[in-house]
Amino acid sequence: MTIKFSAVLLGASLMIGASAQAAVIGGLSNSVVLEDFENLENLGFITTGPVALAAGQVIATSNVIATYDSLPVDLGSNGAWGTDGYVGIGDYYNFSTTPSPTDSLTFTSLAGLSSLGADFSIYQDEFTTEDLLLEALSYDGSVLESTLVAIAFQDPASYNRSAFYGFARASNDIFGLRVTGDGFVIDNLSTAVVPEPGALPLLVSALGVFFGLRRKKSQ
Amino acid sequence: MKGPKHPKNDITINPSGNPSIYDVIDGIEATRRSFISTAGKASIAASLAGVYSSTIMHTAQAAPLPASLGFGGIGFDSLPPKLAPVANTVNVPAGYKVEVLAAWGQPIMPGGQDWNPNVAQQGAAEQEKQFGMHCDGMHFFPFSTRRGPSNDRGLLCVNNEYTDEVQLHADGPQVASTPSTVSLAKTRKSQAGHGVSIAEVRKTANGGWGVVRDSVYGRRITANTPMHISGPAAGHSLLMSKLFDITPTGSVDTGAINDGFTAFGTHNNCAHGYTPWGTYLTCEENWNGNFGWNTGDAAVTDPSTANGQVRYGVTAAGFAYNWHLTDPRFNARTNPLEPHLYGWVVEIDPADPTSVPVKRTALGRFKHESAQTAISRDSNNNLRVAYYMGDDERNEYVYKFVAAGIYSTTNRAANRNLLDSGILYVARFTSAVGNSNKTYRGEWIALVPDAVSVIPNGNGGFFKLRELTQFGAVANGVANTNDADALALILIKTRQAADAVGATMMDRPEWTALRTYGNGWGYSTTNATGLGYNAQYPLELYLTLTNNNRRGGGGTISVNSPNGTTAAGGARPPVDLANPRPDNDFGHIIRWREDGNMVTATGFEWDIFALCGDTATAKTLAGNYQNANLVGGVAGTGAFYQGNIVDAPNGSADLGAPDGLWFDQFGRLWIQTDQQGDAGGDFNNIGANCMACADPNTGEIRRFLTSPRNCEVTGVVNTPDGKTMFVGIQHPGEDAPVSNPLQNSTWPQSQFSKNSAGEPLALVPDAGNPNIKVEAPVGAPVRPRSSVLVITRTDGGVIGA
Repeated sequence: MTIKFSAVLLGASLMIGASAQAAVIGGLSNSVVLEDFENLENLGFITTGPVALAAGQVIATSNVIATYDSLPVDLGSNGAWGTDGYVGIGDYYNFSTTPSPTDSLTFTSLAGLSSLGADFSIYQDEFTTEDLLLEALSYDGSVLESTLVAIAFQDPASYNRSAFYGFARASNDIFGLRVTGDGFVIDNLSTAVVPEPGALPLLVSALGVFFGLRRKKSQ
Repeated sequence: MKGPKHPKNDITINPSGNPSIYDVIDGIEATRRSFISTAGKASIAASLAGVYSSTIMHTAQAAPLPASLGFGGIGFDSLPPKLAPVANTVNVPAGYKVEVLAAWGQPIMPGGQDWNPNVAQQGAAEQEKQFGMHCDGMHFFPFSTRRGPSNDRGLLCVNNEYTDEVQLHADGPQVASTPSTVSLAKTRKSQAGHGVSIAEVRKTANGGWGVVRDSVYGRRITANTPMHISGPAAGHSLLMSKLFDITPTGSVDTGAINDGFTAFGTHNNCAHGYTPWGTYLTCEENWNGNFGWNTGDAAVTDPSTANGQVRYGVTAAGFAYNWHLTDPRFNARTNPLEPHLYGWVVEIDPADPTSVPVKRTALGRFKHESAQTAISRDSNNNLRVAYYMGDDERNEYVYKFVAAGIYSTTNRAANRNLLDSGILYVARFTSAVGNSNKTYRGEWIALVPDAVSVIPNGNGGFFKLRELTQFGAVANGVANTNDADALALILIKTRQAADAVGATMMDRPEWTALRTYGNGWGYSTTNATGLGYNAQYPLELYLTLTNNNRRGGGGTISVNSPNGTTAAGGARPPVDLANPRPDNDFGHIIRWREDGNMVTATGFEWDIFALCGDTATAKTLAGNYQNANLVGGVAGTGAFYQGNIVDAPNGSADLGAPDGLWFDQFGRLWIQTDQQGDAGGDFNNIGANCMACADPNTGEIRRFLTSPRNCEVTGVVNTPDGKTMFVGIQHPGEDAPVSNPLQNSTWPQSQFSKNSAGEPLALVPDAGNPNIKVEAPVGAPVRPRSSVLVITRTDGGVIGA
């Protein structure tokens, strides 16, 4: 768990790229943390997934190796992350992966949700500002909406400082959250409501996404 | 390690006098061979000793060395020896910059206070949040960044081996006969000065390096920190010592006993190790010296426990810490099982400040020096991890632990308990000719219940370990059929097990180092996980054997009894091929290559990399030693003390008592010394302690760093890019009297007023207003402080290149 400095910190920038419906959110009321990355059965491993999160309600996959751990990460002017479980793009264990702006990590929910977000931070230095692309996904993996966010704390002495971003929609049609960027970490995957198993067709379609990913990986 | 509170390793002398039945020297026929490519140099050196005047030797600067296969070359000019009277400075070659990163008392965690030069004004509570005393082995765990491991920021884990009670307390050590000097407060401060410091360090705005004072990672592990015990010996009844309630005001006997899975604290840890899964290993070495007992305390009745205290050097006086006077937990007679909770390798996760350190019993119980990790493929092409370890006392042994499990490169969690199961081996260096030129064979003997000892069973064979009473047999020959119990006893009594199987007594095994070939730890063809050791890039380990004045005599020749009854450091073994010189004052460095380049090998080939010594010495062997050596495999005389260090001009980089040993990621071998610190006696030509750099291909050595007075140089690691090196200076100014703690040294204050980050090293009352603290100037009368140095090149290049 981390202290959230983020809720309205960058309120203005939150809206960059947001749809006219302003479904991109900088915070959640009555939020429920689905996954805090503290007690994963396999905390301490690196993988592209799939990884079961939130007691199996959420599946995480990534297009490059991601680290599920609490190893310290230097995020430049955004401070350091560590002593606190997270998932981060890149192999923070053996250093065999150099993240790039096209790296992505996707959370797929087995049930439709009306809101989904998380705490984010990303490597920043004094030379460039790295944006984070967030996309809300439909049951078939298509993009419902997206936003670009810039996280820049300018506080290299800080620890575990993060900003919350997510999506809130009128119906339970969010089945995934895809995050794309260069050297980011994610903690406290959250929703505003306790997810309940959706109607059977929804669940089946979500599982289809999951197994589709597995097949893709095995190929 | 030296010092008044430190093991002289000659204070528990009780030669068994038993004849050797397992001497490795069963014949000296290998007259054609020599140990290293510079064969004969020792004798040449001896003959030339008179040619080089001390003036020439001490001013000549050896040339840099070119790079060669798996070796990055040496680009600095060798420093001259720092002769007596030793200046209280650290010196490095031209083009290098040396600064203090952290000195004893540096605050390293939230709430930590600045060190107070008036040591009476700070106690255990302050010390527990400050960098501990007498730094030793260390490892740097870089933070991750977007582009790989950070070269700017990370966690520095440092052993704080021991305390100099003269410097720690305003009134000096606790003396039993002087009650006014004895207090629990002093014991607690001493205990807080021991252990491990975990400090977050990073480059600073001024271009230097500094400790992040309020880091969430800052942590002190002390002699009282709660710990787990795991592995095969965990839970054994011999680990169930008295349970004390440990508080700042006392250690109160609760009347209960520990559960065998719990221990408190770690102390007197010299060297260290690390794991590829990101944890730190701190190795309990001179833990025995912190125990003691009072006159009149009833002797230990259990003969096995009593013998164990003799074998491990637990004595009434210890090393005069006298903790037991106020902390009965450390009374080895009234709490006789407590020593069994020490002598282990302790694993610490520095990335988790709330983690509980774990004592890993599978790696054996002895006076651990370093634990050097190595990884290779096994015969099934699985990645396996091993630890190479020395037992630092005269006539003790070399060990290897091979983890049973397969090392995972993708699952850190799966590796977390790798150190709980596997096989502990002990080395026997034989005189059998090796397959390679100029080498001999060696064997790894598994210390398991069915291992065959060298003790005859009367039926033409030999007892197994499980058939010996010290490992649970009711009587010799009646096997202990409880495998778990037998293994636990073997691990708790590792020294006795090694005695029984006929391991080779060595000249004080110190640090082990894994040879690298320019690509991090170990050899790989593509990355850190594709290990590809082969004939060209062999899996090769180096080991310092620092000295042994009991080798080859000085009294009646004797060996460690196979029955495990010889007192620590008590024997006077004959010379052998692996320890070829009598009265080995200057020590040597041995190395071996594992068969098949696998850590799982049970055989190896060895040779001696360097015999340390003083080219110009005129010292001759005393009459009570065997007047012969086995240098070059030939029984001969002469060249006892000159050594065969390869340098140019000859003698320009001589060193003695090698201790710290480490390969950087570019294949350079760094050697640190722990010898007489005032450049007197045997070291009047070699000078003060130093750190040298060697070419493993040729044996050529260059002197890189010279130390202040009465210290040792110990602990070295660098950042992943090799451009920042951290080096430890331990116990500067030791042997000072209580009446004048500053007598021998005030280093680092004698050289610096600020640390690398630009902060004052010491704050002292302003002359005009004692209520204001100001920076103490260079040369101010401040107590000497063990410190970690940060060394960089002024051109930003790689250290050593």
